[in-house]
Amino acid sequence: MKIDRRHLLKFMGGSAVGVVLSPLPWKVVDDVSIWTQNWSWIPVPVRGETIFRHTSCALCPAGCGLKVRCIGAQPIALSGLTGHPTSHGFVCPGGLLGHHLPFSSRRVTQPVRLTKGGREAAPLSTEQVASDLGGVLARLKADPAAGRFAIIDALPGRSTSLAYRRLASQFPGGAYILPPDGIRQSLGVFDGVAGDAYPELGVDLDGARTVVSFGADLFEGWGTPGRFARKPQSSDGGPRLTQINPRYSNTACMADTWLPVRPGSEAILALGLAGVIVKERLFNSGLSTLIDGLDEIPDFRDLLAAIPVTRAAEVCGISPEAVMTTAREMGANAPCLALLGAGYSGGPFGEDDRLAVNFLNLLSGAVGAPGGLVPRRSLPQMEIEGLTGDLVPPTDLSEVPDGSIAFLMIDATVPRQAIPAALIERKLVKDKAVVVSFSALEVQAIGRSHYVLPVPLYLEALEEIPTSSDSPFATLSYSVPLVPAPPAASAPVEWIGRMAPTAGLDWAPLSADTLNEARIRAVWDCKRGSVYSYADGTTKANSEFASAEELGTAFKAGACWLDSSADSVKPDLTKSPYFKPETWGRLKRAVNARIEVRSKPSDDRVLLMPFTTAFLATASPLAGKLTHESGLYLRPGEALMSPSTAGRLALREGQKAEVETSKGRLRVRIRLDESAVPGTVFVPVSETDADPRNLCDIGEDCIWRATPAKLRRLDV
Amino acid sequence: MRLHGSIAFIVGLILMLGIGWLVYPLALYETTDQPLQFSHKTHTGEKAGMACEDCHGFREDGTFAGIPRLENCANCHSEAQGTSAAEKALIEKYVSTNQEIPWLVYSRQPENVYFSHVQHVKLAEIKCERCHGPHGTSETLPPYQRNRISGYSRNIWGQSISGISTAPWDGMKMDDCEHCHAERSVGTSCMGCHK
Amino acid sequence: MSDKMDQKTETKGHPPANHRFGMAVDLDRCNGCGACMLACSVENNVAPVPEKADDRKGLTWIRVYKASNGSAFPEARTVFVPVLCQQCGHHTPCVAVCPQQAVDVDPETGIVGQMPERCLGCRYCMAACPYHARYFNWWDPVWPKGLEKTLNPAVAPRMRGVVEKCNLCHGRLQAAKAKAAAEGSRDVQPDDYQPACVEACPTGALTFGDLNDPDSRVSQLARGQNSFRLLERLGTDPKIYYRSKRRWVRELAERRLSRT
Repeated sequence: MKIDRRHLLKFMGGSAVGVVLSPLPWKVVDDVSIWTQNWSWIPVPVRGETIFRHTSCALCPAGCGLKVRCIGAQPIALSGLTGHPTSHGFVCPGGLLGHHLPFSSRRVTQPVRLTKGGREAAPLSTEQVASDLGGVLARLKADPAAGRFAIIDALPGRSTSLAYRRLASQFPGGAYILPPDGIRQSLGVFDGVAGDAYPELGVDLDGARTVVSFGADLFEGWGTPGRFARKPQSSDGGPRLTQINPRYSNTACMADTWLPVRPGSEAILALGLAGVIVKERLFNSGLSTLIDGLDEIPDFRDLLAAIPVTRAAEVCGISPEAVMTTAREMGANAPCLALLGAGYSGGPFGEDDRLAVNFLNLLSGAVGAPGGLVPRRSLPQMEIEGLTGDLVPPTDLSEVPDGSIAFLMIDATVPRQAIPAALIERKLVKDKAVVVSFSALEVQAIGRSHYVLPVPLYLEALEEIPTSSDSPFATLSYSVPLVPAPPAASAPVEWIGRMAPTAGLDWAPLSADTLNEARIRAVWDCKRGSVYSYADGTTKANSEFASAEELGTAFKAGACWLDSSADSVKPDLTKSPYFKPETWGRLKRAVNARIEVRSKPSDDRVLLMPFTTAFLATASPLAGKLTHESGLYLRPGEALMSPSTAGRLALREGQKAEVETSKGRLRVRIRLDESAVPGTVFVPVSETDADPRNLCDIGEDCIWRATPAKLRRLDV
Repeated sequence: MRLHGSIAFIVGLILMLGIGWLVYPLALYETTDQPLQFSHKTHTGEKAGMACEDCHGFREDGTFAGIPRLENCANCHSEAQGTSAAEKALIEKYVSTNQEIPWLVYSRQPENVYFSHVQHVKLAEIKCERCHGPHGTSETLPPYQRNRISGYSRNIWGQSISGISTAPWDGMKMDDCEHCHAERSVGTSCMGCHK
Repeated sequence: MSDKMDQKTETKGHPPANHRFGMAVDLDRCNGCGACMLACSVENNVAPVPEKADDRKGLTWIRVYKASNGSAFPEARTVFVPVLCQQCGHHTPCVAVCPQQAVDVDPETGIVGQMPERCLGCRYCMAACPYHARYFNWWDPVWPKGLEKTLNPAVAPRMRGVVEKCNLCHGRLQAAKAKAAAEGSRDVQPDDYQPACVEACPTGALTFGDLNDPDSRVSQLARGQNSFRLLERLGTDPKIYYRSKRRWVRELAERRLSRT
């Protein structure tokens, strides 16, 4: 039989029928479709047992209590703790992404030396670091004329802080510098009024009924946001909030009243309000004698007379009625808390603002009263073996002369706003200074030679969180190690210990563990206060812990210690600066200088106003959900202004513009918002070379302020 | 002539039927042995006397422990309990090096499938054998047959290439679950079984 | 559609369980922080999109919008409105148009569940959804190195080409059901089931619960005087209730285009 084409076709026909009647094609299609659903590059979450751990957040001084959901040993989600005595279940957007930080591309795992403005980064071994830096320190010790040693702390009040002060004392003229903390400085106005047992005051936000906030972002990162954020609206019985802010911030949006003042005019508004309160005798009746006594200070009388309601309103840009209403509300709802919004960024409020705003606290009787500013004990004194000897007292950056620092250590273990690079450079000996940062993430290069030494990141080590500046009582909690740290990451005291032999320092080996143990022992020894355990929400008296080790175990499982309330103390207000004539003289001079700073609407000048948004852990890619994926926050490089101002300068939404001050230039993309005060351009603070603070006038007090600037459209 | 043509047709038909029904199942699956042999019978028998839940139990939050981790085995087998080669391999290769045993899971479902053992075992009171067969009384672990195209075990589709199951535990595809759900009129929404 | 909604689940010998899980959003308490957006992304493995993308291509199962009262400075005021899948009741537009039946309404819980594994990416549902609450995966998920270890195993990651949206944290509902089953019960305890956004909201603006339970907080708030729903006139019967004491905010929800 001849095989021909017809046979072939019949064969193919038969095969086709056969294949279709077999499972082959159907199963192949089914399997291929399953195959297409399982590409290897789609990540598959790791499975495992769900375990809940607890910790305090170490990303800012508030130390909110957190529940950590882990799969096996890996944290995968964070949430607030509703019963926590200070945070009340609050977690900020940055805190929610804290567990992503160890995976950041900006992670530093090896020591590096940055040169050429950060363009070159040479890795170093631990031994090289010890010998190089130890040598520099030895030479510095031998030749103090070359410049001084200085160390800037990240979070003062820790046990590590004592080690830093001891280190600075080893060098002639050595300085231990506090980081900017507007809350501490503001409350510092009343230091000492409650006697030696209570050296400081805290803010009793939990008990506050009326709050007048001068730029303090209570819902966005000022102090301990949890204390205020969970309170109901005033219409539901919660506290009344008046927000004084040039921009309709997220806090202003929650307030009962928003007063849109011009940037830099807050002190004048405060004095205008004080004037009304004094004149109409709306102050606390128990203070009559004291306040009437103030009238004998000529500068006081002059100052208040120079700022009547109409003048205050004119300078601030609000109506005189608004000033009167606010003053009368404060009088009617005493004790009224006046809070100043200088946070951790180093501005925009200085001494005059502090004095002016806190005068309102004095007048309303908030000083020493519940719901106001309350006396607070410090954390118990510690004795640390190996840390004996002189301790340099804390200083402010403004007290260190420009160009005097030859060796600067910066503790950047808490990843919050850094001091503006321009300001630090001002303090360094030009072209010769060595800067060392203890940081887990990349930092902006400063100066000629900048060493970055890796430290464990949040969630990798037991980190101490001392009393937050705003807290009404002393507190202590710890963030707990949940993931391993990179091998080269060491605590700052351990790095210092490695340099000490070559540097010839009088330094006993200290470890982070020794310091933590000393702190916990000191707290246990004082027998005061109570401990709130996060895992079960129970509170136990400190005195019920059998040993310091048992207390330590509680901290390591997630807990916070709270001091017991202060005994009722009547503060001696005459110890505050307000009863010294020179205070009013200083204030009068500062205010007279500022009253002239106003943007003139007729030319191309605007006021450059840097501002901080709620802390964002920008090291997580999910932060993009709030910026480019939704436009809820300004994207990097964007700035906010009022449409009327933009119109005057021929700028439209989305256009590029250049901000110029005497200090430099910055390119921004314009976003319009009707609720921004006209005549101002608001630029978010950042830690890159696009930081607007570097363009601001930074005076001798090292505070950056709103600065007149030119704004020019870029036709690119 | 016609007869000759028909022969070609029939040859093609039978050839393809043979390939589809007989050759294809042989070629489709790749067979591997489990990393370790394990006898369920030995562990549930008189000597050890364990129950299913001792290794495959539920946690307090209702999640299923699944195939136990090494520490579960090491609880008893940190030292040799018997004389088998499998146990020797367990101790030398895994317990002493603290390495998890890379079991091949017969019933592994795609990532988007959510199956809650606790609801089926505790609420519906279904026995393990209903879905997993007499696995719990086996003396050896059957070889793992992996579908080369889809990547899943032969147990999911079922032993027969036709997809027709021979026993209630033969086949773990979505329609196998759906049959039982339909019978009992429970959980008809997608989100109940998917994630 | 409607008979499926009204059907009570009848299982042999089991009591009928018919929840309608919904949410009450207090627009006077939302301050636009975006914590809800981040908590949602963490819980549901929502991938970040490339930097070059804008908000039209973002993946934000819950998204906080800004709306203003239209006045000029200094009377200009902003309201922040978190918008998530409104969990429509009747005439769910997305369910009606999907050619793949990749989305369904669960009669037991009222949750509109999206199954990306069935989706073929036609995006008809995105056109149908009047709330723009559905999001398309324009790209495969890319997590920076190591970050994939922090993914939540309770939710499957999606590949590109499929639509995803809020399912009221079904992973948490499944976990709550498992916990109840471990105790021998079919009833999910209200305390055990709370979506990630509700848990994370720092000011407590979000309340979640069973709208079928008249005593629950969310039911009381939904029935409150100042409560409204978005685009009510469309008849979608959503389960997300918004409320505000401010009249201009309530009026925003019913903004109509004026004919010229």
